[in-house]
Amino acid sequence: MKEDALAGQLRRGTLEYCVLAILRDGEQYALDVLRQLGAVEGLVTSEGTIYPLLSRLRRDGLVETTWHESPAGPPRRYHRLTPAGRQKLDDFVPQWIRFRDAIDTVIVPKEGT
Amino acid sequence: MKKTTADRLVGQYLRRLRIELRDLPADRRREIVSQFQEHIAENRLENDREEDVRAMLDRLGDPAVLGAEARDRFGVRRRGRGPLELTALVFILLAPVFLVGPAMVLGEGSDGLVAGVVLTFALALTLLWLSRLWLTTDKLTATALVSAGSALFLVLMRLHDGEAAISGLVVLLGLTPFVAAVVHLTVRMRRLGGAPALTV
Repeated sequence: MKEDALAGQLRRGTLEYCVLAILRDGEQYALDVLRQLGAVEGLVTSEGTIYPLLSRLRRDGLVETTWHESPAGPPRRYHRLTPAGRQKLDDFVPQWIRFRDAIDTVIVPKEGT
Repeated sequence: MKKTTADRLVGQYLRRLRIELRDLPADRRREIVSQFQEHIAENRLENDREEDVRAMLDRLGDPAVLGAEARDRFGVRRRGRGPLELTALVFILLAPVFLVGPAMVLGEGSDGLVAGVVLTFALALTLLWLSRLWLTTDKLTATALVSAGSALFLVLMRLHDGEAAISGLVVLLGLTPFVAAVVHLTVRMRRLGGAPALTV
């Protein structure tokens, strides 16, 4: 279906900024990132997609990982923003708001007309 | 420790995932797979019943879809059967010719035999290992077969030292490992989705 393809494209394109935004306030464990993304309807259809994404963000130097001991079980990998990642997020947010508002003024039906 | 159904499900899932991620650079693939392993292990600490594990793997997603997403993220194209793979197959099939050819030209001294062995391995096996279609286990199997075949061929040639004509049976026997290697690789190529490289 066309709508699905478009939704998929939008999701793929914006998911990386959502992940960057979730890491804005400090380092996070991947499962916690997923929990927060999962709380937003329609954002993540397959949880596994976050792992190639995190890998890509790491390769691009936008995110870095550190290992922490965990109280139970093996050490956990935590992710945090690099300065470059923070910069990319800060650049994107105003662009996104402008873009979103512009689209909204065109496609959202106006009340009372 | 006995393998549970959940272990088998996870093992199967990770195998499929590795196959789907095979077009990514090896270090990326390892990193991604190890994150999946972490995710799975962490979840199984709490819920390890078979239906829990099934549901968790469902939520993670179909390896085929994840592979497509990962290729997209890394800007990598799906690799399929290309000229490299076909040439490798032809060269493995021709390996006996490379093996005995130099000996026939240079005479059956040790120089000819050594040249034959080097030529076989250089041509057939380099192409095989350069391919990113087959998995390492397939390459090892084919390499073992080609090595065994070459050794067998050399032994048979020694046994027939001095005789001008090598009997048909000997040739047939010597060819078997090479044919087996090609058949194995062809079957695996189909299993691994050897669609022509350009269809993505």
